[in-house]
Amino acid sequence: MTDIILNILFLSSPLLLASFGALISEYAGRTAVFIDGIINLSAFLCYAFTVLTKSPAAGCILSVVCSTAFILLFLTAVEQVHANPFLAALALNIFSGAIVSLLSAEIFGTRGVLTSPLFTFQAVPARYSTFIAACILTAAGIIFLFVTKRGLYIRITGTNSDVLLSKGINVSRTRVLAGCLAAVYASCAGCILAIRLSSFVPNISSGKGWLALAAVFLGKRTSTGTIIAVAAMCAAEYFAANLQNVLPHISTPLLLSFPYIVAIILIFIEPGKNSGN
Amino acid sequence: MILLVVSSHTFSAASDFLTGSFTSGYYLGAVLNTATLFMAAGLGDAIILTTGEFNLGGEGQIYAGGFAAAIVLNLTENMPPSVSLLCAFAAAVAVPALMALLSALLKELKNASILLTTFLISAAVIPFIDSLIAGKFRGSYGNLLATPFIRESVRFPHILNPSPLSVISLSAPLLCILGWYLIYRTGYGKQLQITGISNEFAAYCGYSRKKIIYSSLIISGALHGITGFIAVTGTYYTCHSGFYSGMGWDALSCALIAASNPAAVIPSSLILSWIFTSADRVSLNYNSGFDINLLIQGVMLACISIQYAGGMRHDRHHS
Repeated sequence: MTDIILNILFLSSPLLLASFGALISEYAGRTAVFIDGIINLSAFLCYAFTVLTKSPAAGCILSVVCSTAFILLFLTAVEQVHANPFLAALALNIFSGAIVSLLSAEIFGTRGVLTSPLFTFQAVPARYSTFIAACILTAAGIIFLFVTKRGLYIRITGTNSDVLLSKGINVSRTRVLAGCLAAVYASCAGCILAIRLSSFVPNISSGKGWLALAAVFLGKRTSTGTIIAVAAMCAAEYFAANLQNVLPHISTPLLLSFPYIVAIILIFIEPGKNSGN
Repeated sequence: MILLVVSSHTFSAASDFLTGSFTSGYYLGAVLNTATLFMAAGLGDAIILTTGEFNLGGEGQIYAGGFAAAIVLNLTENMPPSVSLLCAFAAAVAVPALMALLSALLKELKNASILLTTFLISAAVIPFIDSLIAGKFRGSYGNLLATPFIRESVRFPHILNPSPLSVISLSAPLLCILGWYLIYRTGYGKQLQITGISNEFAAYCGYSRKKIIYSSLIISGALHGITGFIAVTGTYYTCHSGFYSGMGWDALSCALIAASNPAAVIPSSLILSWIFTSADRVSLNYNSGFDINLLIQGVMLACISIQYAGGMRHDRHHS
């Protein structure tokens, strides 16, 4: 039983980070549709920088910095030209896939799976260390959101931005800050996915960004609710992944649809009606 | 601009990009055929966009429609072709419409975001269909992951050989014109438009938002299913794994460029189809080595996001 719980917790690290990032952006009044694209981009950058610098730590840090800088530029542009944030984020998801494809072909000569002896990690330590890192980052995020003044501004931006305006606080800048924080969490999730696989696989996120949005919705846009939703979704994913032990003939593509089916079922059986959209 | 960045033969590639698709019957037919697929799916997106909502499940709905059509056509082999086609059409329309209906239901019961649930349902359905194509419904064609080819008598003939353009493709522009009539010339269309502009005003007018959301989502899903039907009976003659790829997002771009006007979906689909077919051609001829279409898609959608917001500001100003 302890093993099962531990495995579910290990499995939850990337989704927990992505969901927490999505939650921060949701507080600021923007659905972080770009998270899926950032997970893919940061996973690739983590691999690329690690191989190029021969240091996993440098790889992770540079990946998070570059992905966040990319989102900073993107969000600033969205705010400046008053673009539709939802469509722009969809564009970013597609665009990041193209950038990964382009860079992968240019640097590594292939746009397929990338592996290297310089990007190999032992499974057990990788699982423990990434889980601990995910917990620390989430705890730090909760403290930031609920204890600091900047966190309070972010939480007010989505619901009562007029209050901030009346106090002379730049709402647009607060929204960009929330988006950048979401990008930090999403890129950490991307790094974790790449490290756990010891490789980069195209479309490594496999919809985790969208599942993160579903978790935020299921958690009724609260941090505790989101964490519970992530745990429930990961528990279902764990049991689905182990279904092949019981039903050996079940096809692998079918298992890929399980996380989404679970998310839909959870939305369906969740008590009450969610407020807002 | 993209060609300048990615190609070592910039000028010849640019010239090939602009004119290449019109130099052979094959590419011209491919442009027109892809455009008609965009039109049918883009019309589905345009209708839901008119209400102010997004259907992000287009790809899964197209795939489900095509798969349902292929399976029904194979299961009704002993029936007359017209009956077989009618059953396949009904299945192709019904399955994606049910997928969309589920989103409408989740919106009504749980206030779940339509764009999120349409995406989640589509993402759940795609691997499920993949597994069925790879397993129980796979035809015996070596490595090809596809259902058995449909019989000759239910195939719509190609009209610009060797291109995949077929007779049934001509129905897509007609559908767009019908869609235009529905939105701009009927009371129901007016309800869709007013709901899209202001929910509060629609409620004040006595329009049922529930009815509008359900009906528009079902129509949107059905039109995506029709796209799958056209693809299977007119283009591929089978449902192969991943035939929908990119189609849903491109169709959404067409609808957004057309500002959700079904008549404008026709030219926007032709333009996007020309761009993507030319990009494919250039990518093949100049060996770009990466997904140039994805890059164009991203840039295109980014441009639309600016234009769309501008359009919304313009609309708000006028209202």
